[in-house]
Amino acid sequence: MKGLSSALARGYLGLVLLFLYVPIIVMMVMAFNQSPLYRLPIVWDTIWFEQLAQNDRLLGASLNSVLIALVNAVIATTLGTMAALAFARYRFRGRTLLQILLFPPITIPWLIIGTAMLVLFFWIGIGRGLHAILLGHVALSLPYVIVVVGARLRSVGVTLEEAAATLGATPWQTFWRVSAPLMAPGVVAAALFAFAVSFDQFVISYFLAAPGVSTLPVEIYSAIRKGFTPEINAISTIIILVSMGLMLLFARFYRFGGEG
Amino acid sequence: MRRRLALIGLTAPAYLWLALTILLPLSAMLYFSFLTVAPIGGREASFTLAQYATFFEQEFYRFLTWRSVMMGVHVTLVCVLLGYPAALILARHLPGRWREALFLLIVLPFWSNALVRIFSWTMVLREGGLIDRGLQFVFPEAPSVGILFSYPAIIVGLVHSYLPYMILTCYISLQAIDQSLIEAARSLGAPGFTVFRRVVLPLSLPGLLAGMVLVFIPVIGSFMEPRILGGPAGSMIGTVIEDQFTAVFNWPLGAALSFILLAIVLAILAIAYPLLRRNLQPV
Amino acid sequence: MSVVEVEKVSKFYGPATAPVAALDNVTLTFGDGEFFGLLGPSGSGKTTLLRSIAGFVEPERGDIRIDGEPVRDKPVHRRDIGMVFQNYALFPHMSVFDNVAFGLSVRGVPKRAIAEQVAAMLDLVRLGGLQGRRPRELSGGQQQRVALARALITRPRVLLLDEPLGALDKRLRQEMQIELKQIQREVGITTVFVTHDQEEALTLSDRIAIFNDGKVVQMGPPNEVYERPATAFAAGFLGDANIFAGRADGCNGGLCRVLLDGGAIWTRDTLPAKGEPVLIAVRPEKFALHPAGRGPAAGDEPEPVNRLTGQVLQLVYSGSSITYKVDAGGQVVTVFEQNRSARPFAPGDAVELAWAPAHSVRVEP
Repeated sequence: MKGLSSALARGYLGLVLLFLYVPIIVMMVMAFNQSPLYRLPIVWDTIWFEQLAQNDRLLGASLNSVLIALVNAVIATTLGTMAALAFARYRFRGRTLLQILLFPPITIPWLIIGTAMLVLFFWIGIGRGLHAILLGHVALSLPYVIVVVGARLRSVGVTLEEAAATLGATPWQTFWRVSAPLMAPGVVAAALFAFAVSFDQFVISYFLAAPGVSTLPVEIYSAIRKGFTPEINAISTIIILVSMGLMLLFARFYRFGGEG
Repeated sequence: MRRRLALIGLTAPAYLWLALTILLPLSAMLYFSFLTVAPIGGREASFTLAQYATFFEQEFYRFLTWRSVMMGVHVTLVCVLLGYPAALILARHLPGRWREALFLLIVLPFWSNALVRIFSWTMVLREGGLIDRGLQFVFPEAPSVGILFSYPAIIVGLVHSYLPYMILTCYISLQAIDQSLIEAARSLGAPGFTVFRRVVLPLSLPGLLAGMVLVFIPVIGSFMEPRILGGPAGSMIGTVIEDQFTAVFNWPLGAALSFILLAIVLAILAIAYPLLRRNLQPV
Repeated sequence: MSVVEVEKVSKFYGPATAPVAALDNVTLTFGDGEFFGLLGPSGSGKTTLLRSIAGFVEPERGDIRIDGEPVRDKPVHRRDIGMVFQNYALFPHMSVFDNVAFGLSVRGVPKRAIAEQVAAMLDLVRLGGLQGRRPRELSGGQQQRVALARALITRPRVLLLDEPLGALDKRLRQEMQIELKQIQREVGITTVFVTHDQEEALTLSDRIAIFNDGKVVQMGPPNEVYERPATAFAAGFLGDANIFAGRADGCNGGLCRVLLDGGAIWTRDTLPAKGEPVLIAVRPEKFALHPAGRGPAAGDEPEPVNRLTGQVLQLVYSGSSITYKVDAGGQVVTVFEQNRSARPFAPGDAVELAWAPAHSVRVEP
């Protein structure tokens, strides 16, 4: 009986995995298929990737996405790490309140946040465009950075810093020689996370994109709405592989980082 | 004093950013929702409750809101039914190495591009897509079952998007249950299902609840998935709000509708918060 | 000559309306080269005092001086202290060498000097040859020694130890106690250590302070505090004690009498006025246990012997010793005997307890 239920359990998980990955695999296969219209047999061809290389619009949007994601990662990680340090090392009144304030970006539907940003930015003259998108992405990434770095800080603990102080290290020395190296895996993980959040972000980018200047997900969306071009398969395959690759890197840093 | 300065210095930048990009915009939108027109481009706007009134007067908006809420309920329910058992198996019935690898595999899609994943479903669900082809392969005379551009398609796509997240939250709280609690229950004579019902399920409830709330809320506000997978049948309150801002340019109405949606979201959070508080991890 | 002076130090926690005193007007001095033990149950304030000296806790009242200089506004890193933490707090991302060298390197000591001093220090704690290892590759005892070496290398004025042996198993702990004492003697550094293990406190300390509820209950050399506890708490916390409650009944030539419900006890301590309540503590090992009726005769001893009759309730056999619980007139008395006779008493046996008046210690409630 135990063997049967165990097999059933694994079978169920297998089905779940199938459900999760089949569409993605189909899409990736189609990206390499010569025929754009699902006619069998499947003929291996990289024609759509070549066409993709010619598609200036999509390429330009890709560059924007990467650029914004990089800048976002730097800004969000810096600001978020500072805030996480404050939470981990100090007890102060209002701490709980500040922690609660981190939840809106995660819990409020992005539709509302995106449209609200659009309203405000237009009203006060910031307008739409890459700078506006960056503003939005950092706001979304901050809670995640704070949580990831915070978790790392908590597992490292404060005793090591106390020990450094008893050995005569000034706060500055303690930070650079003890806190920073131990924090590093968490910070790297958070940066990867922030990059991925920004790179994959659609809704906020959609509302804040200026005509002609947008990010990759936004371009893909309009391409889908207008009609189907097989290059979408190609670029989507690339994106998904990049995203998943980033997440695998993140998992490695988050779980195995540090010797503590 | 120095401590105070250090604290402010560390937290101010992040929170100022959040204020500028979350708090101020929401306030601005709240303001807009009480205006007749968007006060941009030199136009004069006056205070009115008409935007909110539109929601309550016109059946159309209430119907769509209801539909969106139902969509949320359906998606959440399916995610719970599919996801909780998967998390249970993963957390308690799988040996160590398999568990971590499978967990990563399951959660990975969630952190990849949501738009692309929805798009991939169009490949599968459309007429002539994978399901169609597969079916015709087995039964050559079968009619087309392309369900793209229909409500079920939206549900499928949304479930696919959020299932990993539901499994993630359930898994975390299931895994946190101390094995010795289960062993204690067994030693006291409780058979398998009773152990589940009286020990595992109650202890994993916070995680399940958190997952449900964090799936339900984004779903009711979604517009991208309904548009892509639902086509003309994909009108939700989310798509209507989107229209106000990108097509119709009736920003005040969009603002009002957004805030009504936000009110619903906050109401749900308010109900769930005391239940969630036990499970919230401190930052 | 005092190295560390703690004067009327108080530390409060909790809301202003209902503050809890972690330290309550504590005054202590630690002498040069002294190995001083702070002993007490959890929450008694001993760790709070240690951390106040270190600088992690700022007391609300009172002063702390190291070498005569007040440390009130000095941050931790400028106090001349060395500290060993309960879980050692070795830097996991550094080798043993770098850990031990840390205190020197943050002071800008040149590399060659560092290498020499680290080698010497590792030899002192008998860890030479493990310089390149990482903390996680070391055993508990080895980590402990690295922590000690790291704290001592900067030659601090005072060494603070926070339950340093708590994480070790019994045998290792006993070995480390001896080594710790040896190293301290060799280096000659004033050492203050916190423990809740009374045996450890007795073994290691030159002087002990017993803490309870934020106050120092008693202070002094181990044998003094042990033989002559000041309060019932001190008697019961440092070792075991039997407490007899009675009334004062006058003194006669150096011997004073205390009336109990079922008899009387003689003591050499001063008593309050006749009729006042008195508590007498007798340590379990001070009794001589005889079969009933075969105790010392009235004229055998130069002075009156305290005597109680009772019945053995139970015994715990520990190999080299036996602990008896004896019902003496309604009170359960704990007796600790070395395993000298061939046949120990059994439950139900009628016995007689005898002990000298000098071992009846009057204690405050």
